[in-house]
Amino acid sequence: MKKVVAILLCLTLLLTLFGCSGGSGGASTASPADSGSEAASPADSGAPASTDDSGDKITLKMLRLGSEEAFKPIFDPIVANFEQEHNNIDVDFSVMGWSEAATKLRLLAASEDLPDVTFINIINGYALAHEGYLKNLKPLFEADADLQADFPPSLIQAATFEEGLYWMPAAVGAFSMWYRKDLLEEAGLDPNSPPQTWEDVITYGKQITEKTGVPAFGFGAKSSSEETADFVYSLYSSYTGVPIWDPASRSFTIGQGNNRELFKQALEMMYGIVNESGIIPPNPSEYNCREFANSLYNKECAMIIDGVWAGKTFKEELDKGADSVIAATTFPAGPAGSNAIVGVDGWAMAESTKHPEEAWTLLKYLINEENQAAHSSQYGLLPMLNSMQGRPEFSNPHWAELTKQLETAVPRPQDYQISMVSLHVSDAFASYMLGRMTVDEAIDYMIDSVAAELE
Amino acid sequence: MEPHNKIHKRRRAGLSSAAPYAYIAPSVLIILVILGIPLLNLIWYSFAKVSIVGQLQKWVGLSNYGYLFSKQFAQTLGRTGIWVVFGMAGMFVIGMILSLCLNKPMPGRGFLRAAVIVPWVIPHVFSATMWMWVFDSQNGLLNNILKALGLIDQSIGFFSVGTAMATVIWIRIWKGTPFIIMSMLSAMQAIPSELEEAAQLDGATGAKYFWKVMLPLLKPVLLMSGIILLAWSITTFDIIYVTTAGGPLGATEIISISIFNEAFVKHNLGRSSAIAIFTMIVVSFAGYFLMRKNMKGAD
Repeated sequence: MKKVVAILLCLTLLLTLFGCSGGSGGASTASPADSGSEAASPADSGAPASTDDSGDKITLKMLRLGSEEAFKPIFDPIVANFEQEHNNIDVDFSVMGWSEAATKLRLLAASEDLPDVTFINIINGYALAHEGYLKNLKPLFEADADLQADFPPSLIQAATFEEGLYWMPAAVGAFSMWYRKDLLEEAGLDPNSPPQTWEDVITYGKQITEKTGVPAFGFGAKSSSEETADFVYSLYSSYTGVPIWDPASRSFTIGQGNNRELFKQALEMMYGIVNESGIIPPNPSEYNCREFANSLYNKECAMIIDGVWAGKTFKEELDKGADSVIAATTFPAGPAGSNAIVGVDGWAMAESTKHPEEAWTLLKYLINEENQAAHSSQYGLLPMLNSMQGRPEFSNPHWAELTKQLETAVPRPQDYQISMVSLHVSDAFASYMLGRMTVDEAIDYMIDSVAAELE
Repeated sequence: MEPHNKIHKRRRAGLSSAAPYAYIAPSVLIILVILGIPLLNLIWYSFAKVSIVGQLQKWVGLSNYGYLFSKQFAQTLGRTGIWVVFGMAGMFVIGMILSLCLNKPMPGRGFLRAAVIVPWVIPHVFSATMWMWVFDSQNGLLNNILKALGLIDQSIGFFSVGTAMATVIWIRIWKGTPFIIMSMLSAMQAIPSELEEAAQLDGATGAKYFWKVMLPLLKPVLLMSGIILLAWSITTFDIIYVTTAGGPLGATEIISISIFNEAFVKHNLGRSSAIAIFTMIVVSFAGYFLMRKNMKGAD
């Protein structure tokens, strides 16, 4: 009897195992806090996109990368309005943390489970586009005259990869400089004349540090950091006038013309700032340049390099308009001007979507003037559409300065291995800043390491 | 021809000998599916160039394993060695000291025994994040306290190139010591009190008692704990990933971080798999030899 019971229990266990193995869709896990301190719901939660049974209601999956805390309040009303205006479409909206996106998006794409409309950033976008997981939106975009008229060509160019347009820009921001007028004033400087060049940064910085006692320039040289790499790309372009990467030949432009010499000058100038000027906080190897927004807000430094997205940290202050003690200006200029990198993230359509027309309808809805204005103003993104210029949400003075940066912005390296390129660029920069390599060794390391790992 | 009852007996004997295998079959199946298939995949990937989503691009033979002989990997091994040796030494020394203290009767011993386990039950990611806040060089608790006490003028960079490894090793020690304490306390409880009394009568007290009597009795537990901690230490990922991500400049890049970077930053799944296979072999051999030694010692 005992044996019979034991055998029955074993069979039950076996059947249960096989019965459970048929589920799909991946585990629903909350992600750990990443730099935006967000929780994430996975892209594949909720109902899968249902095919049209009776010819009526369909479900589209929509995914935003970032913080659930930040984006649910922005997009829930937009989604609700869309569903009201389009009775035949339900939208299953979710948010995924940035740190999850690096791996999870590609796994979703490979299993043809990428949401119909997905927010894409460059780090993921180029790779997904290269592997054929994103729909080329160029034909759709070029067939829509109104849409074409509303987008600055420079943004479309920055979102173009391998001759295709794989996402519609929706989150745009360039590196700029944020500064505190009150600290400039305390140091005896004109608060309305912020530094415009790197020489100004050093001069102002020394005076501010001396007179106020706070490290004037919040800057770090953290290795293996995309933010550090973004800074290097901006610095390079401000000295040479060209982007650091040539997408056609998939190589650096450092060896062209006088670029290497100019790049050396830029790096040596930064070395002086980091090691000799005394104007940056201690222990620069622990931070990247974008980790000082809170310090600026707390009056622990006077100037930082960051993008429009830093504005979220001091939104309360910025909303004071002309009375705000925090203001923005363009990225410090080098000999070739102020040519900071511009981040152009946006909405993409999955190649595997079963409802391309509806997905395109949703995508266009997300980037129309009203919804894009809500997205931009509430999250702190640039008013990128031509139709958004002059809107009251963007009337504060800092918007004009940040938008001005777009005129001379350059794209990040347009390559599907941008993560690897950024890793080596940031490591080379940090190695030189920390005195582990000479400037020539750092540049050679950058070039050789990337060349060795290019596919 | 065999008598009917003998055939029947042989059949019953056959069924009886097959029955245990039937009972363990579901468990073996689970292990094969959950462990075996991914392991086979890993071995397969290690001989190929594979995309991040597992698509085989081409066979590359042993070239992924060639990386294991590179200077870069040697440096990673060196850092892993430092991490393991100092981490385990710290855990054992501090764990042993605290175990000896907590083994003595004292007021509040129960509370203290519960309190020392707290680091172990706190999730790794939270622990690492917490210590990041403590050691932060801009606004960290420790720097603020040291500055307030006038002991330092400028913040100490606990996550700088020269100090990051020591810092993460400290976090590892803090996290892993409770395991040693629990193992040692249990083992110490099992030592008969008559042995201690007899040792005292023979003049073996204090340090002499510890080295000559207690330690040999604790050796099997120490060895088993060591095997477990060795495996955990080599494969620890979250503490370092959250605090330094292997930086700055690779100062804290141990094997587990290297596997992650190869797979998810450089998208080189083949090389990542080769490193993972190597790690598995090393840990398995180390565990095997230590266990064999333990069993010989027991004999």
